[in-house]
Amino acid sequence: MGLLVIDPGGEIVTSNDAASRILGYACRMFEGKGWGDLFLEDARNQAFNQVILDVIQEKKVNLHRRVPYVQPGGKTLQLSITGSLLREHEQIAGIVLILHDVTELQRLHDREKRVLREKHRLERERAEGLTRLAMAIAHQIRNPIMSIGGFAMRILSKIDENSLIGAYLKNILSDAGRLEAIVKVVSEYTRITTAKPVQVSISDILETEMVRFQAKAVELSKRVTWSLELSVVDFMVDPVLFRRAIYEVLLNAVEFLKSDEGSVKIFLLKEDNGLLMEIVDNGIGILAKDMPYVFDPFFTTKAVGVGMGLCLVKRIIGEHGGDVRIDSEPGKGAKVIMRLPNQ
Amino acid sequence: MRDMGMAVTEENDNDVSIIALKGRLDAGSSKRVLASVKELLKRNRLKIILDMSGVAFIDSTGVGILLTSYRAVDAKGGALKICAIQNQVESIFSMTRLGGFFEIFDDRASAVKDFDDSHP
Repeated sequence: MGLLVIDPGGEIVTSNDAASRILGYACRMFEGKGWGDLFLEDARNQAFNQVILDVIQEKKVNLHRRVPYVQPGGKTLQLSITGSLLREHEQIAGIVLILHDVTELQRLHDREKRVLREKHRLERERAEGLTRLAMAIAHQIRNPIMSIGGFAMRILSKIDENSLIGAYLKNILSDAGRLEAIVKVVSEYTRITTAKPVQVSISDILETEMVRFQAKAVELSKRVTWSLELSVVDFMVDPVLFRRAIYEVLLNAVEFLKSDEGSVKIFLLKEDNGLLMEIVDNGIGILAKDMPYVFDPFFTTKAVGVGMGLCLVKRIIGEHGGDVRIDSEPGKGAKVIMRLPNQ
Repeated sequence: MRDMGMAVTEENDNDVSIIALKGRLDAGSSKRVLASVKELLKRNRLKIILDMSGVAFIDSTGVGILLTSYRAVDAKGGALKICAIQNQVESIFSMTRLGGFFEIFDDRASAVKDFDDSHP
């Protein structure tokens, strides 16, 4: 740690070896010299000089900045400087400067940032590649499935439906239908473009979705007790995508209730750095062995369903820069926790 | 605070040129000061006073430009004097030892008089 004390006349009255080393001068050669004479004329060190001028001019105490500094030999360092004006009876008594050489730290920090950026780039590229592949496959599969299903239907209409062949054809039709559903959901997934956030009332969206699900629960013959704990929050989201994500989470909550009745709680809170939403059910929960796979595409434990719901949720929340995770105790229910950062 | 710009006006008192500055002497404005000084030197006017009565803020670029101006005038065998420094700027002058380069006067009249006295 380098230390310099400058008196009101601009003279460096105290300095240590570290200060000399950091600033690129021989030991102890500072003392008795003027700070201005040594540093002011080097136009490369304006940011460094500005720290001291600001301390004087704005009468600062503990002014902290990170600035580049070029040594007389030409080597550039990153310095962390803390400067304080010393005052005695309203008079300026001098300036204390504390210097740290953070060049190496800065270099590591920059490197880390570069590595992280590169990692994100690769992840994005991989995700985009997979999306393109999925889109192409969905497109290529759609037509053959339509023709398989269509021809099976035509044959079925020409023979005895209750014959053995008729049973085979019904299997073909049912599986073609399943494949069609997969293609549909995959196309949907690949069509999720970058989120276009606008300011919307999140509490309104959650309430509307809940009302929609009250009707849906009746349709599924489920008796659901709903409870909402919502702070009124306006927030930047893509309303279409966001509704879709909430729909998928609520659908899971309702479909995994025990013996067709239970409760679903929706909780919304505005935090300093973003939004916290929790959707909690008291259904059958998720087995520990399934937990690692719940966000994977085509993973499902439902008899009907393609297994893209939570995968979609993760993608949509991800598109908003947020994250989603699930806590669950098997047999007691699941809690889906979604966080969105401020845009 | 935003850079409010700088007004640079020039007056002559016989062979003494006075550059009056009004505003913030910072990265945005200080180059114009140096340009004025160089323009005077080109016209062979070597006795220059910088009237700082209108300057309440100076940053490191401003200080650098004052020093560059001083060297430019000195190289031509002229003299650059400074007058009427405001309190806020005076502490910068003393703590950066700018006083060691320039002759500093309380007001414009005494700076002009000093030129007159040294060159009868």
